Amino acid sequence: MAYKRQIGRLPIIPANAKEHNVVCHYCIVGCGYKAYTWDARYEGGTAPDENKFGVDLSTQQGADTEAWYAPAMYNLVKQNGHDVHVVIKPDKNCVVNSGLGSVRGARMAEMSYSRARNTQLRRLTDPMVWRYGQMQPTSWDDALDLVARVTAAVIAEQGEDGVFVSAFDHGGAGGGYENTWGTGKLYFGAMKVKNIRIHNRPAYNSEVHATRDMGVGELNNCYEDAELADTIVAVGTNALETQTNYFLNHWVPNLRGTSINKKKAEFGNEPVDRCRIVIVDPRRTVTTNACEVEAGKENVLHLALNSGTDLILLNAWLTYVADKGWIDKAFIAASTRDFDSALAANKVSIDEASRVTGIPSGDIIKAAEWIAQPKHGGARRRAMFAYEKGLIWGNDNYRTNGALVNLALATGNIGRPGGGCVRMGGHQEGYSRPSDAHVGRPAAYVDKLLIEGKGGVHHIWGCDHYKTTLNALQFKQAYKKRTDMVKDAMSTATYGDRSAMVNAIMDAIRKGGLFAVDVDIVPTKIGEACHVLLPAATSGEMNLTSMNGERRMRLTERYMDPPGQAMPDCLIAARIANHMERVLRETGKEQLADNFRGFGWKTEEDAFMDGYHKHEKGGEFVTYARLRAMGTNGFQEPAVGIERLLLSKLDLEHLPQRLPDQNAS
Amino acid sequence: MKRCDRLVDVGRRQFLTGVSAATAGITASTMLPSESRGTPSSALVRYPANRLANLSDLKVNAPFYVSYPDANAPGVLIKLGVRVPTGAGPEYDIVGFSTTCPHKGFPLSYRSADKTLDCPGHYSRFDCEKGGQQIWGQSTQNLPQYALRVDDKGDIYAEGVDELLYGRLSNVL
Ligand code: SF4
Ligand code: FES
Repeated sequence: MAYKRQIGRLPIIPANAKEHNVVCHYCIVGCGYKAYTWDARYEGGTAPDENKFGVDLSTQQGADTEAWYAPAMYNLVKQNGHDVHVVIKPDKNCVVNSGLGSVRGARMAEMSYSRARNTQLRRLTDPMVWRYGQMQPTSWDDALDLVARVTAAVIAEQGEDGVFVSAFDHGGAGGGYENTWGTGKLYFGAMKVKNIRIHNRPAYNSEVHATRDMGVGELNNCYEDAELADTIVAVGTNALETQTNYFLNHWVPNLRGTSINKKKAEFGNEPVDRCRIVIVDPRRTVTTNACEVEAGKENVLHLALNSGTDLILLNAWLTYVADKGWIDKAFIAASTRDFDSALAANKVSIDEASRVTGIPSGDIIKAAEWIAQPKHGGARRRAMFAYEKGLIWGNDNYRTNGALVNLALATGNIGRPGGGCVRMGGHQEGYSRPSDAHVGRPAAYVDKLLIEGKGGVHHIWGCDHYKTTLNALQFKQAYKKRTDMVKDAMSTATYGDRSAMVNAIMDAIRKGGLFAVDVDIVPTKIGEACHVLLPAATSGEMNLTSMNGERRMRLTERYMDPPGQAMPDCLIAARIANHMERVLRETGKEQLADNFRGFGWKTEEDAFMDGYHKHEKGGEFVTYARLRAMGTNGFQEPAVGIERLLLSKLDLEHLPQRLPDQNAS
Repeated sequence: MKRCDRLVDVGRRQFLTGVSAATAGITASTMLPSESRGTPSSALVRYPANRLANLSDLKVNAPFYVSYPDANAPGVLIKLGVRVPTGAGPEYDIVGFSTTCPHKGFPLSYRSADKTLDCPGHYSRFDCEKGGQQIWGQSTQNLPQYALRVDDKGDIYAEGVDELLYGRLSNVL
């Protein structure tokens, strides 16, 4: 039977509640939210002047109202040590979601750490170390001293290749520009670690190498393009479920035909109509269903191909549209090389494609027409290509990804309104790190090396190999065995005798053991094998910047305290570096110790200024103060400057006191 | 209680400042400022018991539109034709729900084919046989269901709601 909260009333947000910009950290769409906080002892009232909305709350509010929040959007949390009410609700003024919340994002408050209301009590609150046969809480200094000493000892014996790292590289929770920079500066700056992998794959590589190698970054359009396209081609993506508000707020208007005026305004006399959509997916998803409801069955073409046959379908389309002359010759000449040889090499007949994919020839041709047949009067058809895991994690990822980009390039749909050839994405992005060139290609297959007994120390940041690797069972067996060797060795030493402890650990490592350090917000499966657990803060417990699937960068402002002693990942990385420097100096390794300088950050903002602000393209224009002023709409990367008007408005009116870069223009 | 608490407080101050016990009474009276009164309010919403229909009004698997707890809160009664754990009436098959979608407040419509309440807004669907369980959708709550009572005359009363209604921060305004 359905779960019911038995909540018939919620505290009212008072007029003077604090308001914070929040970007949902659960998926790449990055919907805008606002967090309201106020003292736990009070609430507002129903009279317009007693509540944040300025409306009479003693009356029923209509559909789509801003003046309502669900129980899932409410909690009681700590802010600077005090109990406060928090309401986190979708922001109507954010252009990404226009006030929509999804079943994930609209639960942010309920999914926050609250001792008062017993939510998310599994959060890690204190550093923990393996001590006398179990994990026990300890201080940061104690835990990090152990981490630093073992890491330094491993480097002394095995070099930096003995340091294995697993680290998030994304935005949103467990990531963001601050935290990728913190970890990046530690492992690619202070050290040159090459045995490193990413959160969801066993190596340090891209999921979409092909598009990058072709010079087409995978996030190359705007959400608005989905409102402008003549045709959307969705390959292996189930957008309604996995990029919910992008689909609802930007695809649906086009499918319904309600964005036609926008198209007219943008494209003048060019003929425009409601969008048609080609969906390539072996499954009939809810996305397909919703498209049919909104656009009518006649405007939806669901191609349920045999699994793993995308490549041949894409090449058949390329061949067909080129034969028909439905390609953008000027664009091809200006922006590509060797088009003719690509065409020749990838030539596939419709019949062959039909035989392999199991899709009727007529449907393959119809889709090609929807994609590229010129519109009335000869105007180029605007097609937007969107893809995700169905293509990315299918067979032959590199060539399949490349084939889709070929089609988009051939039809002139890169960098044009209503076009794009884009990943739909999972999480937000937020990558800012020193060069990873030393990792090389192909990147080390880290999980295989761990199984083979390589490496002496393993630092894990928000990753869980037990759940995200190939051959997980074997990995688990090998990993447990190796880390158990170290646990058993640690149990032989007196905990307080640090040098005896490190010696015991190193002894086990020499015999094939592995010392493992896990940084996370909750206990994980791989964490069960680790010797040190370090509690991290998440989005909203720290200030955090990320960009969404249209490169829209925003700052989520800290609205509550992290649990217990938890800290932002960037500061954990900095404190590890500080301890490394200290330990190395203690042992007379001055030169090595010098590499670990430059981690004096006190706040996540310090990490941001050291990383993104100094190193990313246009970063010099981007500060917390400016991001705060830009609210949940932020700006689309890269930052190219600050217009005079904006400069005077933002800087002089709103941010008089803090301007590290007055001269930016 | 209040007085007692304050005396404890006063006692603590006495202890800390070392003032003798003899002056405690005087200190206490000077420390009690004019008392203001808090506003008492109950911990739970008080729902009205409203007659929504009579058994004779209901046909199996057909929606009977009502409103509860007031005219601005549309809802529905359904005689499912099968006994369910939350069902009322002699056959334990009558259920009542709000028909305002708890996602963004669009009106739900009844689909008799699978006994669901469906939303045209963003496709959320709720199972009337499972206490309004969201089958798919973007709401963070299951559908608010009425607590129903049927009297000897067959009159059906609603006497409460088990989730927050969309568009109001108190179910009873
Ligand atoms: S669509 Fe994504 S970003 Fe938006 S609210 Fe849902 S989970 Fe959050
Ligand atoms: S209003 Fe019902 S699903 Fe959004």
